[in-house]
Amino acid sequence: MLRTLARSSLRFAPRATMAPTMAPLTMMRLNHTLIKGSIPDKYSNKYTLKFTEDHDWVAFHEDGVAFIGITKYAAEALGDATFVEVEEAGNEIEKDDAFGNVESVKATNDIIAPFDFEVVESNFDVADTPSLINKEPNGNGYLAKVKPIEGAEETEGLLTAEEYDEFLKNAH
Amino acid sequence: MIRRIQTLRTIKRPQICYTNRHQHRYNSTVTLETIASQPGPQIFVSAISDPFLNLALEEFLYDHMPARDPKSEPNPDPDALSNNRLVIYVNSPCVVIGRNQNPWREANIPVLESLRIPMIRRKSGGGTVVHDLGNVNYCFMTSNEDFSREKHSKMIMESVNAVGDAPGGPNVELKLNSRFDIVDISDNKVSGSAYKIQRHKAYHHGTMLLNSKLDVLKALLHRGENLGVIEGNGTASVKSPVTNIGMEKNLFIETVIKGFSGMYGVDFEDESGPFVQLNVIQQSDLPEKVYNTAEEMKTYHWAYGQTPKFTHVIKNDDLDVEVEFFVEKGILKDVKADSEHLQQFKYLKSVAQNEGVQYIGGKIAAFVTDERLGDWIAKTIDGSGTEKEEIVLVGKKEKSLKDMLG
Repeated sequence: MLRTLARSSLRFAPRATMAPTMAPLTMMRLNHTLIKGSIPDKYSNKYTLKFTEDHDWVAFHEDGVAFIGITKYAAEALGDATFVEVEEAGNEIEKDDAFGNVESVKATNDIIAPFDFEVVESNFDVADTPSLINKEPNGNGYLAKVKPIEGAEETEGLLTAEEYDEFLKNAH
Repeated sequence: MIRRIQTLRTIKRPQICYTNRHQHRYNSTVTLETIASQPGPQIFVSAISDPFLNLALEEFLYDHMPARDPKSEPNPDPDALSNNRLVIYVNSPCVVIGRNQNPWREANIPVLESLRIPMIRRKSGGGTVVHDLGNVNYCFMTSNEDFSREKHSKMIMESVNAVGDAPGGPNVELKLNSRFDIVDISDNKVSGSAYKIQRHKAYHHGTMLLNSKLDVLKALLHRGENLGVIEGNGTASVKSPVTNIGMEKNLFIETVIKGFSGMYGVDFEDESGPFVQLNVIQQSDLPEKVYNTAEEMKTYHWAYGQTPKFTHVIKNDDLDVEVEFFVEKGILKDVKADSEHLQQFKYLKSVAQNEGVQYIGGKIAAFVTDERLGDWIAKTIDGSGTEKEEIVLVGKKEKSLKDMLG
């Protein structure tokens, strides 16, 4: 998601209320991890973290469950979220389809599925408190717990933290 | 028949008639879908005033705008034509809420119902606006590459300011505020914006208050204490003081067209100036798909059913009663009444918990076993059954809303 937003908000002046909270890019680059002890982290403590060019992160846990959220970078670029909506549990989502939507600063933003999956549980906390996605996008502000299609981890286009970092550097 | 004009000559002002060379009418058999799918910049001006049809037309044009995905193009041509669109329409009176808003919280539904003014949920984010024939709606559709919140607002602001003192020009000077809203120098808002951002394309649409009936606007959105307190998720509107810019409608439309053409138009070597294909859309040009979208927008399921869950507390001192409603997706799921009135709401509570009831005054009232309470509830939720009663708005009675709309 958010390819546009990320780019445009940086190219043009970010809106005033966002500017002071905007961490320098270098700081954000150092932190492509999940918040320790957050729900997607402590679920098994054994997971592989991947990223997408749509600024999503995916934590693949060893038991075949994955958590999806948006990156810190995306959350900063979005601005204050006022509404978060994710497909309901049980829904099957196809790669490249929107499975959720975040509204911020008068814009609806689609969230794109990086691979096929079934929604196991959408995050009710972030739906109830949208600001959670700004505060802890890489933690309890995750979007959904999902059951990815077999081999999802090998999907073309999934990036390691280093690759995502490189992508951010080159894209801007 | 879709009027297609390859110059800006269609607009009456001679000074923006760049050249006759490009003037050319297409065969009338071209469908809207064909035109909407063509690459390159295009302008669509709707001659329709039905808000449902216009919003559906806007979505249709957006859906059919070819997307460019630079990633899938091995060697993207930086000079390739952008597929940007400008859509302009003017709606008959209606209230338009953002994608994730609560209509009961944002608008005075009883007043809307009594005046038969439609409440419409759009697909973009943002807050609630009132449309009427005194404001012009514009929509800029772009690829993600070209999208920014600021760009097109700035263009409109600068273009309008450039018109200045010309006959029919604006009577205020405009600037952008920190939210990229267009405001006058005293910070009164003249244009609201909303955005829809997808993977490869996005749009920015907005309203421009030219000569809107601002007192009606205020009355349609004003909710007195008698309508209760609503709390819940969803995007709340940021209330702003508003004003009209007083500009003549056609001049404004022409100004925006000129600005868009200057931004995205194609330059010719003979220096005739940039031009963009302009299409005037009549109702008879609309494909069935647009009508279907318009019908979907009218359904309870979309307009009210997409409301994030909320609670609604209403009180009546005369009847000495307080009730709280719990509503999810526009369906009443539970109700709590004060201890004196449990009996009257027992039936409603059981129906709400077991199967749910659409949050429509008349439907809710039917399950309340006290006629006076039922009438009051129906009236408070959406004015059901109050047609014959006088409408009191914003504390003044001297002039009825119907007269003001006239």
